[in-house]
Amino acid sequence: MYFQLHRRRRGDFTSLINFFPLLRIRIGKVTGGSPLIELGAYTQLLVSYTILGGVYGLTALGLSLIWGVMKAVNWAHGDFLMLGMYVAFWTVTLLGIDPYIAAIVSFILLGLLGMMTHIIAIEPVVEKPGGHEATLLTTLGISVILESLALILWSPSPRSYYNSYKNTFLEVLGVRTSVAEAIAFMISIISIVAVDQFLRRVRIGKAIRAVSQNPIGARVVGIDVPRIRLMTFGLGVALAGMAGVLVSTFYPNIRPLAGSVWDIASYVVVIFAGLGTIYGVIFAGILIGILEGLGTIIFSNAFRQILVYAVFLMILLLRPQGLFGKALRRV
Amino acid sequence: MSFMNAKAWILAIVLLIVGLVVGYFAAGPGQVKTVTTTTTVTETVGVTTQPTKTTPAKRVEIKVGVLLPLSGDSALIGQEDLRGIQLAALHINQSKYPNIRFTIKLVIADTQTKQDVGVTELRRLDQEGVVAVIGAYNSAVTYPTAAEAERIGLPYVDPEAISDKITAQGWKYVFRTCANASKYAYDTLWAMADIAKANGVDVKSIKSVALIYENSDFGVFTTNGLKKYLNMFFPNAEIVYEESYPAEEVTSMDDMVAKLKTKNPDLVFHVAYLKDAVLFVQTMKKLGWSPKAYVGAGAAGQARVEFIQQLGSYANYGYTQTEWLPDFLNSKVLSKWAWIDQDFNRIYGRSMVGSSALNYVGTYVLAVAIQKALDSGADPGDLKAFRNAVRDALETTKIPAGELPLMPWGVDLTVPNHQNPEAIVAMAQILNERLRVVWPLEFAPVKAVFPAPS
Amino acid sequence: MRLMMKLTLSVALLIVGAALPLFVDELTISILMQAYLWAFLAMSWDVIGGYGGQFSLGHAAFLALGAYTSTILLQSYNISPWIGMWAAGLIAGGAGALVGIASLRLRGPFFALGTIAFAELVELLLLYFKEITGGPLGILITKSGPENMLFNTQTPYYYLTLTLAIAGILFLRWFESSKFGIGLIAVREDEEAAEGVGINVYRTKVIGATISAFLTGIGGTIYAQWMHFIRPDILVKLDYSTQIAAIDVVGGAGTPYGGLIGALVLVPLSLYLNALFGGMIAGLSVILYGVVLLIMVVLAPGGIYGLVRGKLRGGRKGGK
Repeated sequence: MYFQLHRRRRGDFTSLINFFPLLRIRIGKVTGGSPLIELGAYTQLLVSYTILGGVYGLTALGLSLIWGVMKAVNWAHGDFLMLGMYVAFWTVTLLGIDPYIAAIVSFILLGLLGMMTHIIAIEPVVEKPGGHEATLLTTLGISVILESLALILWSPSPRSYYNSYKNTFLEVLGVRTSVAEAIAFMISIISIVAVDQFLRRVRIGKAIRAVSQNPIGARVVGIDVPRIRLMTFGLGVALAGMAGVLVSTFYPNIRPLAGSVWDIASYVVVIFAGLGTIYGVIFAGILIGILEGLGTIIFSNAFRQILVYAVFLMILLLRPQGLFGKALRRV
Repeated sequence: MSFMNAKAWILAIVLLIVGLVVGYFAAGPGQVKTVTTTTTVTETVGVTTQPTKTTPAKRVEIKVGVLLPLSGDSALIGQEDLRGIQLAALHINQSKYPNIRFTIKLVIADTQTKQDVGVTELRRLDQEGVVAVIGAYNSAVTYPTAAEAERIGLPYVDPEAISDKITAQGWKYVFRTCANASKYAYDTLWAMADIAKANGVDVKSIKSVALIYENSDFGVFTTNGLKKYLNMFFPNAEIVYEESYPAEEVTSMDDMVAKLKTKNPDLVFHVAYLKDAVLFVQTMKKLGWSPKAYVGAGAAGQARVEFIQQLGSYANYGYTQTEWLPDFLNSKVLSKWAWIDQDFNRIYGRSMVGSSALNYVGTYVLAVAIQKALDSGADPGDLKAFRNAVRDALETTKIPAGELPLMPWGVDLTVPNHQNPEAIVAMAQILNERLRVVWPLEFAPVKAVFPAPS
Repeated sequence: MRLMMKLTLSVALLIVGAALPLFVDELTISILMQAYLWAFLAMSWDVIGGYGGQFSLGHAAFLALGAYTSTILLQSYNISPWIGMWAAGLIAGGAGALVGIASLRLRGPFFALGTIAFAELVELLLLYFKEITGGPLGILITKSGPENMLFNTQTPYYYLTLTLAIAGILFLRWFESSKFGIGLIAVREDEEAAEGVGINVYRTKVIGATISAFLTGIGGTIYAQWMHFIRPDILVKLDYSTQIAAIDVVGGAGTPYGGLIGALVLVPLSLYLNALFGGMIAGLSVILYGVVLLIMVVLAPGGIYGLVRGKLRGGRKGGK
């Protein structure tokens, strides 16, 4: 029976059996390539993918902020991540400073660039009818400009800088990870808490929250809404720049298209999390990380993203406001 | 408000222009370098062709199209390919090859790594009157553009894209000078078996192997070849783990390494591009596991210098296929080609790599065929007839090993499918953070270390 | 008088379009042909994106589904794409209905991002079922002959796509004044009010998405027949989804002519820029393309069509 299934899978034509996990596991046993692995590896993968999920949360944080406050989609998000990686590369190789200090440099530089982008591409369209969709297209323009500029300026050759963090490993109870990833995970959580506190306690932060909850009301109470939008976009891009540096400490290849690996995951995290929630981002990130991990353990690497997107679409339909978001008001 | 916007717009446009100008003049290596060398190419051509020493007759100028991914996902290799082609054209125009007596004018087109842009650009090349096209690195772009060339009746030389199906269609105008994916796989296993034997390891003792591959044409065809020939070289080997992944999107490879750790195979064959290869080795170190030999099949990611740059000592003892390394020039047979690499070094400040060498050779083979067509009396003025003459000449092209620049193999395009059967892919090992040729054994300056010390 | 002028203008343009292949070279024909194809795709997008106000960024998925359906029918079952394209439309339309159901619950940018996820899922599924779709290797069309919609020159494709583009315009003109079209526009403007006058918002959106996807699927067939080769990772790329939407918005969304105008501007622009700069400074053409896109969207929010019409009417019709 097993052999029959096996042969059908390898033949020219196959049925939907690949979709049924139980059958697949049996097939796996026959071919000797069982996807089931020993217990130690489970814990290892759970930890690995939780850390990855935390990084997803960090890469999505800036996007989520912009999205929440002005309902604009920053299509160039991945490219700002990429610029952050290049900032890390240049500062570390030219100035010889620690990549984690480069994260601060990147935060500032990208913040300024973000404000410039906002003036050019977001502010002129965001308040017009259909403006939210128009921001998609203007930031698409920014995205292709940044990618091609990077290609012309820095060539397509992948860069990397030496850092000992990625080559030093931690081992706890047989579970291993690199220092760079552990630090990235921690910074991810710290920055999410920091952004949340900023929004709650600092004056500008409170204004940002007010604008995100009720832009008209905010204007009525005398908040300069365009200025708040400018600050938000700058902060969002600055966070993307910082995330880019942190990703570059453990992920290979700094190149003009490096952002595209991470941006789709960021979009998924943002919708998963929902509007108006900062902590939701980290939970959603880790959830997606773990979903990917489960996908690879139970099925295969090729299947893991199918699982993520299928669950994603299901959540989207059942809970359009996202897992942690507040219910949408009908505008 | 609107005034502020206007100001901002002017500022932005000024900044953009400044950025472009700065980028154009002050940028580092790569892109801009290509441009400047294009001008040097034409300049040197102008200088060197005037004091002609060998050919009294006026040299004919022949247009050749170059179709490469100069931007987009594959820009890195596309630009490296272009360097090889430009150098070959330069050498031909400088009369470095007495058997080629015309000048080449390259018409360069960018596919942006997209198939529809590639097809449109191929038509443009056709329109510009090129007699043949070289390209296009990505199998996914080479395939439809070659099909289009076949419909137009334009000779198409593929010096690097390795998908089996490109030469499996029986196309009349499409020729491949390099090996195909199956041959890459065959040579991988052949090399590893030879290396094992040379180190006193019985090939029968290799019981388990794992196959990890990126999931496009490149990975799939190479892995199919590995599966097909595995037991020819390792009779007792069984595939205990097999996994494919999307190279462009992979963010973590912990799952694969964790599973490998459980299976603990003797050999791991990995068909990968650069980023995923680096990530994989990094993850192996992170999770603390390594096989007897980690073998990069297909001569892509692991064969690049960046692989070693990024991994440092962690790259050591890894194997990778390679089409060409400077080590070749130390051998008796190939030392006569050292001047080519010296020239490359003079212009770009480093040695050639597999991509540039393969494209150099492809351009040379095409030039030989064009010369043959000229010799047969075909008139370059009649484009259609001349293209057919070039096609016919390509079909009868046979260059024995030793006469082909840079490579230890020969070219035979007289076979029915136009797939050069003679190309061999060498195997290199990373020793002391340097790629060294370890197979074919007669070209190897050092002995391979097998199995890898843990 | 006005009608006469319009009629004369349309006929003149039609004659120019039809006679053009006699005067220009093969490359120009090929580029115009691609412009018409993209125009048709943009017009298909317009049904849900422009008239329906649901900004989809997943239309490449319908394109791919259409292309795959007709190609598999042709290669495995020997069914001509002239028939297969209708099946392609139906399959894509079915998927469109699913997206339409989703659009009931998702608004604005949420919907846009949802459609991206949908397209990603379609790409992954096309990759996963490799026994049917060829997986990452794609499918090469090896048949030939006009009965299979395969031609050796570009001119037949030119007329094919020209017909398609004209049919698209005629369809949209009819659509925008049809009862259903008016209903869809009403839903876009104000869902509650539309519901108030007795329009079934849910059904309207689903049908709108279905029509849009159906047409895109047919466009997918033409694309596959022209390219002779399809692959999921190239076909379902985000680039295609965004390009479809960008063309329509730049031309003028929610108008019958926006798609054609946008395609005739953007497609030749990007291809000619690439031909001009691709061999010199790779990437420069893409920068210029990005700048043009940015300027167009910021300065002409109603698209080129809206801008021109605004100018012609002397700015009488300011605002909404």
